[in-house]
Amino acid sequence: MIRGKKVNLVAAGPEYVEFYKKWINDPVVVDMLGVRNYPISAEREREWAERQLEPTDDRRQFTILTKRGRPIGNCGFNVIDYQNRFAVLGIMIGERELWDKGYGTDALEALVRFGFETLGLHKVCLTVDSVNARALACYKKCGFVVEAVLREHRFHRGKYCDELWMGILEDEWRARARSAPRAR
Amino acid sequence: MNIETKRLVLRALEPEDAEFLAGVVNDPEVRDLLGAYELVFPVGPKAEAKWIASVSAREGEAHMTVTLRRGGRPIGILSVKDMDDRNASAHLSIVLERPSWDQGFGTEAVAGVLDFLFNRMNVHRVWLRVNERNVRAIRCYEKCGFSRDGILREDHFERGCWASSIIMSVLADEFRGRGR
Repeated sequence: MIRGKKVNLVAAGPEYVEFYKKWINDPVVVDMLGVRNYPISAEREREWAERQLEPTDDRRQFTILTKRGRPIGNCGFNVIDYQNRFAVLGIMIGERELWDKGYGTDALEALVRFGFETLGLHKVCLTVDSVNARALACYKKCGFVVEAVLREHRFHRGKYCDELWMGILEDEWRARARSAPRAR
Repeated sequence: MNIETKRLVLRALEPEDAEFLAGVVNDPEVRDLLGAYELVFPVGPKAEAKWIASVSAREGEAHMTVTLRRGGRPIGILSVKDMDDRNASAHLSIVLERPSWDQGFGTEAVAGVLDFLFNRMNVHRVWLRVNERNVRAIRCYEKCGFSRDGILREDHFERGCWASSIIMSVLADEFRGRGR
């Protein structure tokens, strides 16, 4: 378990499949995620959840639980490159009524800390659609900076929008972590 | 993701929809207008369950159950098939149970799926084949922006004689232009 202040990150798996199915089929949740999928059946989602039981070294998914144990979203590393010591992360809060309450920020901070302190990474990065203002604000708050703009890279609601690559370096994160209290 | 409209939710087709689906496609009046080449004999719920399992596993197809937003009851099936990524083209088909006809549900479901295909999936063209006797369906498709491409002359046998189908299509720009 990876511990944050408001949430814990646990291994993703079939026990949460009902939640995964609900989140991935919620149009409002998916709208900003950058995935474009048809409705997903219980069976298909179960297959995805089962696959999380055999994770590989270069990618890993976690489910975000509140401190009371309620599953509210997923996050994880979609790429872990130990040679170059960077990882690409992804995160979603699937329970919409819990948006804008700091759960995503807390999960992100816990995940990033795990990346630097436990995995020993040099850099953590992510991609985000330029239209996703909520996520963008969260990433900036956590110290990520925009490294590249991929012009009109993503099709969103009938139009093309930019994709942003963001990243935070080990030193930048350490400087921030020194001035912020740790979670227990 | 599910496709949501004012009164409907289109979710993934599930094995538990078999009973409902069998009821719909065994209704003689539904079957009469369906023009589906492969549906000839009566079908039981077990066979439908098998069909659902097999089509759900196929790549490049999406089969959805049209349900009422209020209560979640299924009223029909909508499928997107023959998805051609390079040519950005897809085939659409829909069938609604008879009690849900003539209430605008078909138009609402088709318009919702077109919005999804054009504005989210970046599809360029959606096409379909409809029995030329199915005036109700043709009107629904025209309301959604479809126009007639041509006729498949005597492409199937029904009611003791050869019958024809109409091919219709709608392009992304045409669909977006409608809303303006």
